[in-house]
Amino acid sequence: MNAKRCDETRELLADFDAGLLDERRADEVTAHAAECEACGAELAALKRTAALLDATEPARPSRDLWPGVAQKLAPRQPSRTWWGIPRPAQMRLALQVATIVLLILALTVILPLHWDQGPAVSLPHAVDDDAALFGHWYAQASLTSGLGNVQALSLIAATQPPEAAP
Amino acid sequence: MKPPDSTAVVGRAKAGDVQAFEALFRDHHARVYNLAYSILADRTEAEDVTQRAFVKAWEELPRLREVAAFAGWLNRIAANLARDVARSRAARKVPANHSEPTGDKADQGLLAEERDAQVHRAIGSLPEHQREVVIMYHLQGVPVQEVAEQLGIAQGTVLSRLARGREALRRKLAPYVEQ
Ligand SMILES: [Zn+2]
Repeated sequence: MNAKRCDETRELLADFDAGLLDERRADEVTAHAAECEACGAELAALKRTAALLDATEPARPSRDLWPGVAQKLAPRQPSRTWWGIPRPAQMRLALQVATIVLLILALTVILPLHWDQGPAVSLPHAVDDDAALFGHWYAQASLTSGLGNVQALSLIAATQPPEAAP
Repeated sequence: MKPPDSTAVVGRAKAGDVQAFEALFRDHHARVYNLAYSILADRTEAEDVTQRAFVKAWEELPRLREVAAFAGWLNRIAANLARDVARSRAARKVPANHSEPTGDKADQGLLAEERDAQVHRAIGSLPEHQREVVIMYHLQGVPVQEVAEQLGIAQGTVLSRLARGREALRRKLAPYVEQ
C-alpha cells in the first residue's frame, strides 16, 4: 500500500467516522479502507472505541446528594428588583464614561465660544470682582449652551481660569 | 434529558428559587458526578465535589449571563473543583482510592468493572472540552444536538470534539479495541 495514502487516510479516519468529511473525501476514505487492511483495521478499532464508550456504565453516586446540597444553600430572596442595579465594576465604568463625556462637552462647548465670540470671552480677565465673574460665567454658560443649572455650574467649575482665583 | 423550559428554570433559580435549583440539580448532577469521577477516579471525592459544585453554582448564579449555557458553566465549576482536589491529593502524595462500584453493578463480572474503571480513567485524561462531550454523548446518551444546546456550541464543534476524543481514547484503550 502507498504509505502516503495511508497517512492521509489515518488523519481523516476520526472525522470520517464522525460524519464530518465532505462526500468526495469520504468516498476516498471508504475506498482506501476497503482495500488497505491496516487502515481498515484502524477504522474498525475507532468504531469499537465508540461502541465501548456507549457500553460503559456511567458512574453513579452511592446516595442522594441533594440533601447535602440543600442544607448548604444560603437563602437568596426571589426578587427581580436588583437585576437593573449596576454592579460596582459597571458603576466605575459609568463614572469614567461620564467624566470623559463631560470633558468632551467642556472642550466642544467652550472652545467654539472662544473662537466665535472673540472679545466677549476675554471679559473674565478684565473683571476682578469674584461675584461678577461668577455671574458672568454662569449666565454665559447657561444662555449660550442651553445647559441646565447643574451642567452650567459643572462647566464653570471645570473651566474657571486661574486669574479668577482669589 | 433536558426539559424544554430549562432556560426558564435556570432563570428562576438565578432569581433565588430553591425548587427550580433542585430541578436543575436533578437534571445535571449525574453528568457533574461523572465529570468529577473521571478526573478523580474516587467515588467519595466525586460525590463531595458534585455537592460543592452545586453549592458554588447557587452562589455564583446571579452573575451567570448566558443562561442557555448553564450546563457548560456548571461543568467548568465542577472540573475546577475536581482538579483542585486532585492537585492537593498529588501534593500530599495520596493515591486515588479506586473504590469498587456499588449497587446495580454488583452482579457484573470483575472484568467488566475493571474495564469500565479503565474507560472512566481514560476519559478523565482527555482535555476538558473533549471529556465533557464524550461523557454527555457516550456515557449519558445525550443526542449531539442537545449536547450542543446545553454547552452553547455548534453541532459541528460537538462532532469534532467527539472525533478528537475518540481518536485519543482509541489509543488509550488499545487493549480493549484492537483485535
Ligand atoms: Zn492504508
